[in-house]
Amino acid sequence: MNGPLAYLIGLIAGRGHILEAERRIIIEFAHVQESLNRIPYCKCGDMATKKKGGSDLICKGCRSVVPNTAIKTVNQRESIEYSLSKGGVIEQISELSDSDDKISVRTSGNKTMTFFILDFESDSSTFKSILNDFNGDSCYDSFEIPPRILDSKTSRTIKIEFLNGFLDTAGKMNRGNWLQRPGKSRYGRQRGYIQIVRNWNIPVQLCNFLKSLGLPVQTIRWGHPHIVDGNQIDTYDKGPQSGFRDTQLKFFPEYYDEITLRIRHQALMFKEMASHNRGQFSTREACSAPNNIPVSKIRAPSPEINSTKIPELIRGVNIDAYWQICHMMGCKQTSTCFAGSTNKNLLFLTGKESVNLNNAQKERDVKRQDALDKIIDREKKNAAKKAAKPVTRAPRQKPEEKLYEPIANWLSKDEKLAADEVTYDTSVQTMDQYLKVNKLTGIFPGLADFNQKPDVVGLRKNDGFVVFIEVKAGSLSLTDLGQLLGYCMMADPDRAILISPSGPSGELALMLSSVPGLLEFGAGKRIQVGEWDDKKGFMDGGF
Amino acid sequence: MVVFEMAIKKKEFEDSVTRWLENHTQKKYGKTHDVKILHRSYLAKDEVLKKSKYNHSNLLFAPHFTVVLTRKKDGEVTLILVAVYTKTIALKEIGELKLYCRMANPVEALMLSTDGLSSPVETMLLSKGRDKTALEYGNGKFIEIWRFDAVNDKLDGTNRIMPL
Repeated sequence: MNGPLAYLIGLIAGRGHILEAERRIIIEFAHVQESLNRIPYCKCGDMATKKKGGSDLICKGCRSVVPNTAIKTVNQRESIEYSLSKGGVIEQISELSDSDDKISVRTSGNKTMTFFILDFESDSSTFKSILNDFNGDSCYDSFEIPPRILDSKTSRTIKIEFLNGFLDTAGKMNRGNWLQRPGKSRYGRQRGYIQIVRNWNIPVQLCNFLKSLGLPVQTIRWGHPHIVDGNQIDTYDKGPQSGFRDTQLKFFPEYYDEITLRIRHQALMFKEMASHNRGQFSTREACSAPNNIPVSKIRAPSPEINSTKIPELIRGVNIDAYWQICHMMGCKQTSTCFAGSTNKNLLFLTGKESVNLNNAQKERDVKRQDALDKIIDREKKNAAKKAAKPVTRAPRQKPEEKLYEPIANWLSKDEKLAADEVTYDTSVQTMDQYLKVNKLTGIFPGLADFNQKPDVVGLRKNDGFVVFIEVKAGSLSLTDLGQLLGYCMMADPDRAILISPSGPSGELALMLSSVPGLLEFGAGKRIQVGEWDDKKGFMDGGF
Repeated sequence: MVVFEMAIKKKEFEDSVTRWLENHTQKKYGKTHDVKILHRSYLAKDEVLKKSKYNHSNLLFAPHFTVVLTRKKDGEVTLILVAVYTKTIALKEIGELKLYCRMANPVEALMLSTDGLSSPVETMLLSKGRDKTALEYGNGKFIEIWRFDAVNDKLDGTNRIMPL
């Protein structure tokens, strides 16, 4: 295996989808916020932060007010687009593509996600080897680290390239993840993390892998309800699913010097965080599990403890510490400790062996019941408060209505339509009625029985050209596309556009990238899906 | 109160559809397939599909019902998608199920409703052969639209509403 292939396998393991029939790989690069803040510094050299709810930046060292101009930002989307089209990522992929095994590459996406789409032409041996690496699985939520990466004969350079790819997609270099620690000359210890979604096997595999390379891991924040929402506030306030989140494997970047990130802003933030920490701290703060679990940390059982979202190995188990999940999922470090333990049950329950198992179990059962009783009492009080509050409803509004006029103006220019050839009156009356009222039925006979209400319509009279635009205020969903597809199936317009200021949701964008046939209608026509920008107009997502 | 009654009606309707689906799919496929019925399950995350090696990762949606048919002799997985409504069916709902079908290519796709199609949609489907063109989703398969009798747990009548 060569470096570029190991890098690609890392990208896939982090956020890839493998579509075997299409011989296609799609890699997700998330950019939920358009810009990320870099670490702001005071003139004295220490980090500055804002207090919760405050507007001023305050230096953690000299406590003086630091101007907001100290906050420098990076544009994530632009950085990703650059890295995928001209920068380090495409350079790596280009090395894999040759005349015998050609890979064509393109990008699509929306405001919060960019998809890097690789199509393997002919009967690709590279693609076959990748399929084999991931054991026929198709999505990052079930991938494991391929055996040939883990193999002891595989060189360190190749292993690091795999990590480079994994970190470029799943790594988060977010300055907000710093820890309260006094350093030698500045405050705060910056942490990066690897974000893992819906995959319960790979966090521990990855942790074992990093440790085998001498790269320390600080902790794993599992997306388990007992870890994410131990006191069950969100579970009751926002719903039972809020106890499930991504899993985060946290590390201090100063120990990861060998890592070379190819997404431009990731590399910048990574370097900045490592430099912030370097030489400041005398301890590695590496995970030292299994650790003592004090009685004060005992959690009430979550109502979701038996959810099928939790893997069978852990389902139904009362979890009080992150390392208990790690151990059950195959942590080598805890396994070594447990192998030498004389009372494994006690060690799992308490993290130590110096107490009596029965007493510890009883004490913890009582504490667990107490914690549960407290939650039940709290929720009874909350329910009584809610019942006492009168419910007031705001009048219903269609927030997309204010977009109709600018979109109609854009369409008029784009298709060179006269003022009376573009309308959004059809959003309040059906198309057939509109045509009758305006005596246009004869020019557009195909719409004579079309009794629906597209938001914005273009009707060019000289050649009977018809455009439908469906406008939404929020992210575009499959349901929104279904609505426009319904119109297209019935009326067969010449052009159809689905548009919103946010563009397609991440899920819709991924589906459109995976199944290009989704947008087809009529004879060889395609619905266009994209973003509305007040200055630029319609920006086609390129699906 | 109205919202509460609607929720009860929907729950009873979906329970009735579940009973019919279990019966229908066991009769039709039970000898040759293992049958599993999923209710409002997000297919990309579904554990049954994840374990089956069915290419599920781009199925980022949750149909009202999904029947997972696993052929006993070779483990091949196919799906039946079912959308259910306690009101008349609108055009966007047909469009949405058609998109599901384009992605999952089910062996059957059904729309079941207590009240059938909304009249504007029925009018359009009845003309220009749209009942066939709009409801076809691949290799001559059609989304079938039926009225459903929730009192007796069965399809209402012997003929579907669409396609004709």
